Parts: sequence; C-alpha cells; structure tokens
Amino acid sequence: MTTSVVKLDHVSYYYDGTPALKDVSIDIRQGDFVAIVGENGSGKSTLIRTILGLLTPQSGTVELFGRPIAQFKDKSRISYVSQKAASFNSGFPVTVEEVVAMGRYGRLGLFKRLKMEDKAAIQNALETVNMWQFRHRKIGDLSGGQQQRVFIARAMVNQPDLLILDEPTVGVDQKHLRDFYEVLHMLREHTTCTFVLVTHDLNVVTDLVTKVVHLDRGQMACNCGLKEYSELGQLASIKPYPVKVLVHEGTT
Amino acid sequence: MIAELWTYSFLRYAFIAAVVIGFTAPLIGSFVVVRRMSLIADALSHVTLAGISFSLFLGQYLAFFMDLNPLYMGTLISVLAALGLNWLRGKYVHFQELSIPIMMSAGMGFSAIFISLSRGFSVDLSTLLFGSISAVSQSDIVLIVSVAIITLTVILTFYKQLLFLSFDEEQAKVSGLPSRWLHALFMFVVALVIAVSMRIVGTLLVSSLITLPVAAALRFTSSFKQTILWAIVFGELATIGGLVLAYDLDVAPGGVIVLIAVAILATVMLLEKVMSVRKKEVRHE
Repeated sequence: MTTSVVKLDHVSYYYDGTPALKDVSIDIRQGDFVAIVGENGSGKSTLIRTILGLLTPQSGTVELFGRPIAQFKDKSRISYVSQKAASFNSGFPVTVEEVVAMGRYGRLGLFKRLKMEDKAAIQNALETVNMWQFRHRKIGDLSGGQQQRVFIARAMVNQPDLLILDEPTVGVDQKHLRDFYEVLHMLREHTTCTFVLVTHDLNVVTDLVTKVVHLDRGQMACNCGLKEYSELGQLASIKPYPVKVLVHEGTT
Repeated sequence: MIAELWTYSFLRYAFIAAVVIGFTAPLIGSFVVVRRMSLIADALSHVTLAGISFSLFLGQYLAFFMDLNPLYMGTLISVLAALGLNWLRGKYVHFQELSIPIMMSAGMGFSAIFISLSRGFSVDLSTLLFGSISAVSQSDIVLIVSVAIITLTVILTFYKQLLFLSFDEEQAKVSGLPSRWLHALFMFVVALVIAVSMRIVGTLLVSSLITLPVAAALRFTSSFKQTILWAIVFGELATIGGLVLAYDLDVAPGGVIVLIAVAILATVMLLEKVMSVRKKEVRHE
C-alpha cells in the first residue's frame, strides 16, 4: 500500500466564526492525482491553505508525509502554484532564471549561495518546461502561458513529492491553457510526484485524475474515484461537474 | 567645491554623507518600490522629524539632550514607528495603506507641537525640512556610515530571501522562509536609512531619494540586480551632483538633489521613447 502524503482528520476552519471547512477528512496517497472541485466560496482555497500550513484549523489534525504538520520541516518536498501566480506584478524587474531560482531559496538556508547543483536543477526545470532559452527575459515580458510554465518550473525545481496547484489557469487564455495542460501531462508521465489540483474544469484532466474531492459550502460532498463521481449526476444532493471522459486505464 | 573639500571639514562631511546616502537609499529603495511600499518612506521621514524636534525640545530643559545629536532620537523614533506601521497593517488587514496616513499624521502632529512648544531651536527648521550642507556633523557621519554597513550586511546576507518575499510573499511562506521575521528586519533597515538620509535631503524629500532613482532604473532593467545597480548609479549622480550644485548656488541640497533625480528619470523616459520610435522605424524599413 502506498504511503500517506496528506491526511486531514475531521478538520474545521472558521473565518471570524463563519465556517469555511466543516469536518473535512481526506487521505491523499503517494502517486495520487487529486482534483478538488466546488463552487466559488466552497472552501477549496481554504483547504489548500490548510494543507500548506498557511492556515491553522480550529479543530482536527493535518499530517504531511505521516507527520503532524507542526513537526514537518522539510518544506522543499512540497511545491505550490497559486491562483495569484498568474496575477503577479508584471512590472517586477526579475528574470525567468531568478524566478525559478526562488524555488531553491527555501532549502538553501539564510546564509548560503546557490551552488552548481542548484544551478543545474534550475536549468533542468526550465528545460523540462521548454523555457531555458527565455532564462534572461523579464518574466513580465512573457505571454501568460509562458509565465505559467515558468511558475511550474519554479514549483518543480526541488523535484517535490507533492505539487499543489490552486486554480493555476485563472486568467490564462484558451491557447495557453492547452500549453499548460500539456506540461501537466508531461510531468505526470515523467515524475513520481503526487498532484493536488483545484480546478473548475475536470474534463481537461480526466485522464490524469485518480480521485475527486467535491466541496460544497465547506463540507466534503464527495471523496471518490472519477467513475464514481461521474455517476453522482443521478444524485440530487450535489451538482457534480460534468465529466465527458469517464474511465481511463489506471484510474479508479 | 572639490578643492575646498580638503579645506573645510563640514564640506568633507557633507560629501561623505552624500556618497554614502546616494548608495544606501536606492539600495533599500529598490526593495521598497517593488514591494509597493513607497509611501512608507514618507510616513517614516515625518516621524523622524517628530523625533528630532522632540530631542531638540528636550535639549532646552535637560543637559543630556542638549549635547546629544538629535538624529539619534529621530532614528530611534523612526525604528519604533516602523514597528508601529507593521502592527497597524495587521490591524487593518483589508485597508493596510491606512497605516501610512495614520503614522504620517501622528508624526506631523508631534512635530508641530514640539516645534511650537520650543522657544526657538538652535537649528533652522528649513535644514530639517530640506537638508543642509553645513548641518552634517562628525557624529552624523558615524551614524550614516554605521547605518550603511548594517544595510549592506542585511542586503548581502538576506538578498535572496528578501527578493523572494518581495516577489511572492505567499510562496515564500510556503517555502519555509521566516517571512514575519524578515519583514520586521526589512522595516528596521528602512527606518534607519530614512532617518539618516534626512540630514542631506531633509524630511520632505527623503522619499524621493528612496524612490526616484529606482523609478528611473525600472524603466529599462530586466533583472533585479540590474535595477539595484542602476538605481545606485542614479542615486550617486543625484546626491553628488546635487551637493556640488547646491554649494555653488547656495541653496538647500535636498531640492537640487531631488530635481536632478527627476531630471534623470525624465531623461531615461525620453530615451526610452526615442528608442521605441527608432525600433518602429527599423521595423517599417
């Protein structure tokens, strides 16, 4: 049996008394590709921020790689591409290479410089997303799709065990959306990483997803395989997102 | 002026102060601008004035403060205000910019009271507001150089972390960087630089020296290191040039320094325009 990467046990989180997550329990295993879906305000981003340790739940426990989140120190095993990545300050004078290098800063420690192995990892990450030739370009001068590739390279530069993507395609046009999902497919194929993707469009990742978590007003309405989720359409309790491609080899 | 530098110690002090401030203000200013915190420089400079006027006021009654460099009190109050700004930003999570007018108003309010309570200061008020060549003392130089060393040490040590925090604060937190601690350290250094810079450019113009060289550099640089480097070049041009001109014209250096910085910015923007027109012409050919 694969090891647990993220385990939430009866987690609740309240913003000023208003519940954003209510009694949520999830177990994400190594190699999973989990899609988190739900309406705006359903608690998707709160869930992600709780997993990342940016929010501390008022009740329940969070474990990362089998350890309570407070005791988990190896942050370089987790990478994150946020919604805000697409809406960064495009005037910021920073090159593509500098942005990807930031991904290494957390593990470098406070007083150390980038070594040859860090530079090799930066080059490798940029080559993986086909952006090495743009390394000296200012990030704000690139197209939306290219910027997304750079942020994915930053997330992958540490070869993380868990990659969390919180609606990473917000504000990205259709043409560049395709580019983005191509990179995601390629990463899925070539890495052993566990993926958590918050999305409104399940159809573009149906061949990747192994598990769907549907949040409804902070509560977990569904935590199941893709096939099971597609059949929920017959139930009246939640409105599942339409899934055209139902079952793929290797999905549950 | 160059020949007179060797004759008059006050000119030497002013020159050293200008060179050091021309370096430190744009260096820290590069981070201030990209973090969209430019107005914080204004708030802290006004609070520094309150600290200086408080020290001068106390100097009229207490012997200890009579001999104390008022810039020390200004620096201390500036640092406390920086911490206060941090606290206020936490109190107004959705209206963080409110912390700036609150602190600025408090600074100006205290300044007005201490200035009006005093029976006339030993220093001219205009030197506090617009800077002065003759006002720079030996103890000012010690303070200015010390602040420059602290600033350079902090930037060299935490450059990567501060850059990450400036570009993407949330991601920096997720990566495990001690963001709260780094932000407090950054604010501490900003407060120090602003406090000591006002000796040359004055309270009302400090923020210009922090932001204008960076504004010019931002027009054409693509990496953050380039931005810092060019901002320092422009900062030095403005402070040294401004000091020489102010001495020759016998006017407050703050105004001339800032106008040179504005002229540099205007020149860069003009060159940018000319280059873009030329590029279009080449494309049409």
